[in-house]
Amino acid sequence: MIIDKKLSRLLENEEPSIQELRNIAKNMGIKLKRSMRKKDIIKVIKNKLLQLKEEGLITDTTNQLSYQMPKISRIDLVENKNELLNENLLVITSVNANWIFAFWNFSKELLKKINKIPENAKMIMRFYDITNKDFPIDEANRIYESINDLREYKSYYFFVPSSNTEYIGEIGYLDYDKNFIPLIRSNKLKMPSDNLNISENIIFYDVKTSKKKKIRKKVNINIIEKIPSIANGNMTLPQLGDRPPISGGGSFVWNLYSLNRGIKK
Amino acid sequence: MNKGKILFVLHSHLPYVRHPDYEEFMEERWLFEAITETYVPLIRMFKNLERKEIDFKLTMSFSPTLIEMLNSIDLQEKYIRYLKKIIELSEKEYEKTKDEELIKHKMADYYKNNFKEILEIFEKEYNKNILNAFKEYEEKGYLELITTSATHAVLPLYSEYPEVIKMQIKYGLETFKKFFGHYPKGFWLPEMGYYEGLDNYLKEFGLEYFFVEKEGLIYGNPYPIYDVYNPVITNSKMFVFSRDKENNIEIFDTESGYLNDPRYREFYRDIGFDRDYEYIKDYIDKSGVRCNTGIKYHKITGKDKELYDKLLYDIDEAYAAVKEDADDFVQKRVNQLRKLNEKYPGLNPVMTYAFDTEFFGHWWYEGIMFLEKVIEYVYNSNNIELKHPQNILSEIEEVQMMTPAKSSWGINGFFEEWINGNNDWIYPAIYEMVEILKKKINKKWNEQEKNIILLMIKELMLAQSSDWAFIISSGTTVEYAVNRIKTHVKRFFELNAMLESGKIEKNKLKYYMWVDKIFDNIDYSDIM
Repeated sequence: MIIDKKLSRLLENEEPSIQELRNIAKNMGIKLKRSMRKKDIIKVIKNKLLQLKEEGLITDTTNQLSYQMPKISRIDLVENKNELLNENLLVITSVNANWIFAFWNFSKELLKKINKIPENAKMIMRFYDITNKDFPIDEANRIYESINDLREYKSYYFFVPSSNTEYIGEIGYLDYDKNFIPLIRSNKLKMPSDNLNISENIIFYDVKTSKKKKIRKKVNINIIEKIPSIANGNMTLPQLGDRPPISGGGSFVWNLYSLNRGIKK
Repeated sequence: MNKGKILFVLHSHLPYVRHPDYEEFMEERWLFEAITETYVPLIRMFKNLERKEIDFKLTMSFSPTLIEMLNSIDLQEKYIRYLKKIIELSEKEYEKTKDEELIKHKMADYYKNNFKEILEIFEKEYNKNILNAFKEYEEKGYLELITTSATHAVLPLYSEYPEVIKMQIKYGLETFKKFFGHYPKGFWLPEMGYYEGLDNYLKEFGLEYFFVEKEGLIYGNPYPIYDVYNPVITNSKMFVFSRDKENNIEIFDTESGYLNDPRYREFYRDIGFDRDYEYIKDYIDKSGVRCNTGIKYHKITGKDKELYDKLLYDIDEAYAAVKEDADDFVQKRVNQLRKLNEKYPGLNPVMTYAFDTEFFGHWWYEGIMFLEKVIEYVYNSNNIELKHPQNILSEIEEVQMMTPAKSSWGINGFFEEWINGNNDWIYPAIYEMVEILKKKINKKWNEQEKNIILLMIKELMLAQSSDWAFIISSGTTVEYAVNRIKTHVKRFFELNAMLESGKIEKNKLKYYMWVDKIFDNIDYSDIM
């Protein structure tokens, strides 16, 4: 689990409310008892942080980005939950070449099943690299498994090591014998590429005759690629990368001052 | 030297911010400012160039939401009321600045005349519908007009749903045709968002070309042998142009781009914030919230200057900067062409420059003057020439075939601005709406029920507008963006409940049809 170090600062330097502490614990996958007091919760969180630190899983994001994002809490879009879809849905979509955003919805039937999963069994996500495979899951090139318990979440960001790869995801749990029991399967996702695909085999298309012609041609590449700013996310991927000098989208919300053109009062 | 072809693409888009249930609505000013500072000045630029007998070639994309707003009678009336108020203010300013600095008074005079001229063009020349101007210049052969998806949805985010992709494309094309009388040949991918396979859908709708960001081409398969300097063709026989990203930066870059010249107008210093409240209150938002009026007396002056410390703006001084910058830009293109000629002998390189239209004029006040000068200088150059995509494609005999990569023109070339911890809550709701709609759409419904489904499609598409997620990311008018999404989702579920229960609330239906009056009567039956 990768977690933002500012949490530890919050615990040490500031005076969080019990609700904030409960939220932090929830985000870290810690189950709390109703009767727990503030100092007990802090203790549990600190222990968890210590454990994560020992495992080398805490990433300090403090000095990486200066762009301040507005904080928006999760929003209940529809008041009457009964109107929402009572179906299983697991969607994976690419944020960039290495980050996947996944979100899911469980039907009432599946929720019942999930409630019966033993408490000590983690609900996890698996990603199957199925690039160039006809029988995806069984013949996956590689399988990646998340570490943290997803039971309390409805969405999550995952880092996947290979770009330009096709994935299928599954949410499931590990049983007593460490067998993965899938509960729900996602769509197939092709991740963006961030590699140059150099090939000397070029196909030319003749516009008049509609004929294709294969040629071998040495490709002369001397372009300079920008080093991408890594989306240094924790589980909610709250930060954007460095603001680029050019940006697409929303010409009316272009904020020149967020891009350092002078000083805004 | 082989001639270089320059392709200027201006993408004009605003989200649907029409609020007919309010006499005035703050976000409608986005449209009004765009008309005043960008669209009408562009029309004026066309007139100037035509008068000088300069055969300019520009490609312009109009988003369906913008088309619908520019064609909306109530927005046209509101705009005239808005502009007349600004003219009234500029007249007051003309009097008031008589006792102030000379340059200020000169600028007050300029604004007064400028706004009056804009009113004349808008109201008298084009009868309140400036789409007619763009149509006119298309018919004269100066413009090539294209469009984009219905509500500017970032299409790769919905690649799982061909129905959504087709709906967004089809509603976009139909809206374009309704106003311009023909289908376009090209398509602007919202936020330049592309994914493998999208070309098939575009082809299905009879389109011939689209644009991708540089990442889309250089990370494609295989690498394009001419980099971004020649179109390529996909397996589905769609032509693809790619943006000359690094060289777009010369214009855009907020550190070193032309728009930072200290002589240019300072966007954030506006009399809407500077003048006494009592004086300005009739010209800002009705709620009393101060906002831009479009009358600005200060120049950028320097990055290190606080807003209160900016010096006075002089349009003539700015115009001198425009000429220098335009000349510099064109010179750099000629130098770039020389290098490209060495690297790709035998090729007439295509250099594609694509921008949000509103960047010129609205954000960079002198941007349209800059464009005009660039066009003039290119026209007089022996080495480079302006072209339309169709001119370029008609001259192509052989083209490299390749598959572009998933990409956008956002941060790092991907989708981080539209999916992040602040706005990702949008997508589960939208996907649920799509799932629900998919189930409804194939059933048989009576006319009234069909209308409800049309409304549900409209609510879904309005929620999908890329602007809401982007606004939340950029932290500008976040509350409005959040409310818009919530509103469309809420309405969708209300409509769904009506269909499910059979209890039709006629007044509510009527209201929903009236309040967002777009995409009426588009047949969805062949999509889902």
